[in-house]
Amino acid sequence: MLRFILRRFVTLLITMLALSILIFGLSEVLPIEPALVILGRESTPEARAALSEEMGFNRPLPERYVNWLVRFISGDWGDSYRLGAPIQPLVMRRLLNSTILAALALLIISPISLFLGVIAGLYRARWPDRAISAGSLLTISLPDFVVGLLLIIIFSWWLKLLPADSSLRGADIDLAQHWRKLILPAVTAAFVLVGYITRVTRVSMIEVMDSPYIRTAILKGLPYRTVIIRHALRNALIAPIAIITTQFAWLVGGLIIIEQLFNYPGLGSLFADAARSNDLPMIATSSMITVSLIVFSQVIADVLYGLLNPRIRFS
Amino acid sequence: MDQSLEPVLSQPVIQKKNLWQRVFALRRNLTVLLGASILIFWVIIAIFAPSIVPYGINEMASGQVWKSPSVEHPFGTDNLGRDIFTRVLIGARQMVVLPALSVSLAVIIGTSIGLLSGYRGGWVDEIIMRVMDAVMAFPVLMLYLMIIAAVGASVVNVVIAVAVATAPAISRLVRGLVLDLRSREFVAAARMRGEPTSYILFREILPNAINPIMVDALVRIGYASFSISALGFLGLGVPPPNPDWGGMVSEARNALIITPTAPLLPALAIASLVIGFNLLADGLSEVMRTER
Amino acid sequence: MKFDLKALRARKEQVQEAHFEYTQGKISRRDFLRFSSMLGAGAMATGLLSPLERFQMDQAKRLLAQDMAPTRGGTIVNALGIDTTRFDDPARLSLVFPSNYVRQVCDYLVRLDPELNLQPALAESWLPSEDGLTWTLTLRQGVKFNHGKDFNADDVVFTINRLIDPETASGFAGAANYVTGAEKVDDFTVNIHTDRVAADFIYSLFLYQAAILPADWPGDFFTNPWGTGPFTIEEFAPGEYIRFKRREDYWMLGADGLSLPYLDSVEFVSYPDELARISALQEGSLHLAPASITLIDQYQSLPGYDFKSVQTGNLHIAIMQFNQEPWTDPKMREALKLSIDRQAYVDTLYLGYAIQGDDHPIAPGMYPLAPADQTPRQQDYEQARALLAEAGYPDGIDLTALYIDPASDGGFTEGFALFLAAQAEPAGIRIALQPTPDYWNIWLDDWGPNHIGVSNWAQKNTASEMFNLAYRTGSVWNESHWSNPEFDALLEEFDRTLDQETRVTQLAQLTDMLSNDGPVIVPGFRQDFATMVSKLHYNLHPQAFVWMADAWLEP
Repeated sequence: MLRFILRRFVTLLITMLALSILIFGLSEVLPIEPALVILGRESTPEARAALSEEMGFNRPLPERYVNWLVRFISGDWGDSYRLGAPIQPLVMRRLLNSTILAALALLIISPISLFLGVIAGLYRARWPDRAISAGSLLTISLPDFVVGLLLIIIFSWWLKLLPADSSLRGADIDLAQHWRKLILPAVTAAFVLVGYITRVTRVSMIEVMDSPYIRTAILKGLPYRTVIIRHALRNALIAPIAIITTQFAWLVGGLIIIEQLFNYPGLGSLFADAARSNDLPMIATSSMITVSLIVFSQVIADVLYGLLNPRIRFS
Repeated sequence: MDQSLEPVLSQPVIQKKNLWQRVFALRRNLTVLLGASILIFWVIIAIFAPSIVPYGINEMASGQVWKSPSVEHPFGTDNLGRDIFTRVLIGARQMVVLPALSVSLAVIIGTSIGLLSGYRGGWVDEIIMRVMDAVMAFPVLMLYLMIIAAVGASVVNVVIAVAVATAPAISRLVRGLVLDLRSREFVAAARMRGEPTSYILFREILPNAINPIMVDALVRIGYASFSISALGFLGLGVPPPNPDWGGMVSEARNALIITPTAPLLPALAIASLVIGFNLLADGLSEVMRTER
Repeated sequence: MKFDLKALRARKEQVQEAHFEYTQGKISRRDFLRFSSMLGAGAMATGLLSPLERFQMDQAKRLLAQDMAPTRGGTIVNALGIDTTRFDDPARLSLVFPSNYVRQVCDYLVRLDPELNLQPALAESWLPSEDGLTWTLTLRQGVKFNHGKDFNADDVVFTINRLIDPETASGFAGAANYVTGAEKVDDFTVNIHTDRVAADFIYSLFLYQAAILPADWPGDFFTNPWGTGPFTIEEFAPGEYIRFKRREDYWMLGADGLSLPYLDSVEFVSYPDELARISALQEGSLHLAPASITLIDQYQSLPGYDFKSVQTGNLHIAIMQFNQEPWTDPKMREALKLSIDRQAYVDTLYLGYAIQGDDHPIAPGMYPLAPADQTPRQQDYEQARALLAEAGYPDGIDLTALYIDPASDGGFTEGFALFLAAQAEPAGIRIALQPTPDYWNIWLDDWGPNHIGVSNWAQKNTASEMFNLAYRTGSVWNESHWSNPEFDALLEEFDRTLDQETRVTQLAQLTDMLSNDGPVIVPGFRQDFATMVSKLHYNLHPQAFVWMADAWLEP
């Protein structure tokens, strides 16, 4: 078991290294002259050359990469070109905001999709399954900006129940004060994922119900309800719960459209703004943070899955 | 979001009937039928749009902004007085072509990588798969945004970006299939006969892996149309004046109180297209499962 | 302080002459008053007006005064269509919007009010020397910076000399390239020297880079936001919002005789997304927000808000680089100009809320000396096609338009780019559109043959400023690389001339040259729109300047 976890973390390190090279490489090909962005277009070429020298933009590529990686790991992320402000506090605040939104979305998703998936799995190929499967296919197929738009039309404009504007106006997030602003974006995010998790749960439930172990239990004459609740559910929910763990991290960085749509100050919209304005350090940092989070959570999910599932053998 | 159908598709199907019999048999499956109808509808629209549409895509009716649907403008007009009906119909062309194009490209790249990685195994496989993991760790939209930021927005670049972002998942699927097939008798037999690696890969393994790859590709085309419209929505998709459904939603949503149809109709067009692809893929994989 | 009697006498003569021209109907009353106050002789000019005219002006003021019974207190939340960005040095600004943060915290030596009249600010009066090469400014006394220092001549000398220092790399040095230095006479008198007579000199002190900073300013504006202005920065979250707090001891007094500002605080909040702005307005969490004219129905349906507009000299522009094919040929420039229907521009993009342009940047009625009206060229596809054929393109031509990408300006430029492409096509000029995220990195480069740039410009204080920035040979922001010795010579002449009637003629010649031979298409001048709570008393500024010192909120 320990070897499995260790192995998983070694692969994690390799993946992270590959990631950092990828991100660094991408940011290298961006058509940006950092000194020009920093000093502005009225600056003299001499001043720009001096700054490039000073900031090490002229060093050889491998050296720049190592310097960048060391600075990143030590938490020195530099200043944003676009906003002219230090990146670290900004990213941290936005990360917190996105995390809260993602957590809220998962809070909505988990019970609904696990319940629906189990029901669909139990009533396989009968009408509850057909209805749930069709519904989840529909939600999977609706782009998040379409869902968000529909929710805005219905809940903000027709019913006037909830705000369509989730801007926090620079305030630190405070659930007691801002909960109304979080509902529509969280529901939108939930809508997009709920179908996927329901499908995973359904497949997992079907597999478990088909397993010899459950069949034997039913044949042995144990009450159906007991078999389902005590034995089947426990095993069937392992996979979906592991997946929910990975989706959490995915949500944190994958909310780009939803955050833009509702004007919510999260990590996704910070990244999108950076990408659109060639804000190199911000692009590199926010993407690095997001993917690290995702890769890390995948390892956690794997380990979780391994711990929960007695059937997995560690080789 | 890793929404590949790996658990469903991990078993390859050995062909028994010829292709036309198989396709013909599909008509009995309601899901397939529905999905295919939606897609065929959009393909027909895409082909005939130029002769159907009443206006030019960039034709501006002076002062006629954000008008609700009327006889002259069945879907209303946009912020520059352009006819939304015209733009939705013409917009179908790129939404039908670009996702298919980029996923085809992704299938070529992903399959090559997957075949190589799965067949060679060892450290080559390890390195390739770690790199693929790295690419797949990116939320898809984030990866697109970075690629587009690096190379700029144009039709070609959008296709490349979507292909690059899609290929790793395909390569992982193919690699899984190869690992499974590699140990089969017919591959071992070919190897004993002394066939070259390329023969084994492309004549023995690939034909047996093609079905799951195709079904998977269908799902991915659905997501590709999803992503391309999302890029358009963020203002980084195919540049104007080509009408882009995602971009149209983005422009029109400000006007949703004046004329809700303006953002809703292109939004529904996107949704229907993705639903079509997903239905078709779902139905096909169901059919393949029962055939097994 | 010593008076240059000769200069005073010369000024008196000039004002009298201008008055004569005004009575002859050669210049407008507004221009006459503007000219006089430009020379620091506003009061003298009013004295020259007939009793009836004075009565009319007083009447207008009284009517205004009855409306104005400002109350104090309250907070205004002002939505910005852009992100609140950080910058180090106000002198290096090249966009209007960020200058609005500076404007709340710092003062300028003079200012233009929303009617575009010149008003004294930190300079109480000004006077040119007889040779016109030195301007003597008398500064306001008893003004304090927000970090405690008293304002005096040292600060003005510091600021001006810093602005013209090439090291600072300020746009000011380009726009007011005739300024050679500032020198302290006594604590509240400063001489500013120019290397040639610059009739419009005084306006350049309101260039948005020219905010007065204290002589002990160590740099980095948001760390050391020092100024004499009406507000101080209370909190700043880059990318999200910036909050200003009222200063208790601001020097300018309100109608009630107490220190301005009336408001307790002002917030600028980033709302790049218009739908989010509308939602926030509907909830009542915004008081003032920029608005799109195409959504006017929507804004007018919001209860408690007024939809307001102000005519500006801001413009869309298409740039045909003078040193690149095919634009080296004047026929090609004319062909593209002829393919644009200016009324269609006004109607399509602004629903009529704009005035037509004639391919030069000086908006009629919006600049001193400019005519109140102009008749632009008419669309003529036939002639455009003929010119194209003459220039060697009988089958038309394919061009690429580089324009500011919609992600960075909300599609504001894209709308015009699309319009341009649609208009040019029937003439055989086929324009492919290329949104360019790094437009502001490449706008001064050579774009290569068969390109046009599509962008926009803000109104400037004077025609001279606009020309010296962007149209004189080799000037700093000459994006079109236009070079016309005749134009340069006349511009120099125009800058040197004090006689108003001559200057009106010269300006007309300059704009004609640009319109006929020039490298730009200016289809029109838009109005700016905003929606604001009905209780807010605030005048939109034609130059997109936001200055909240005299805004007030009904209880």
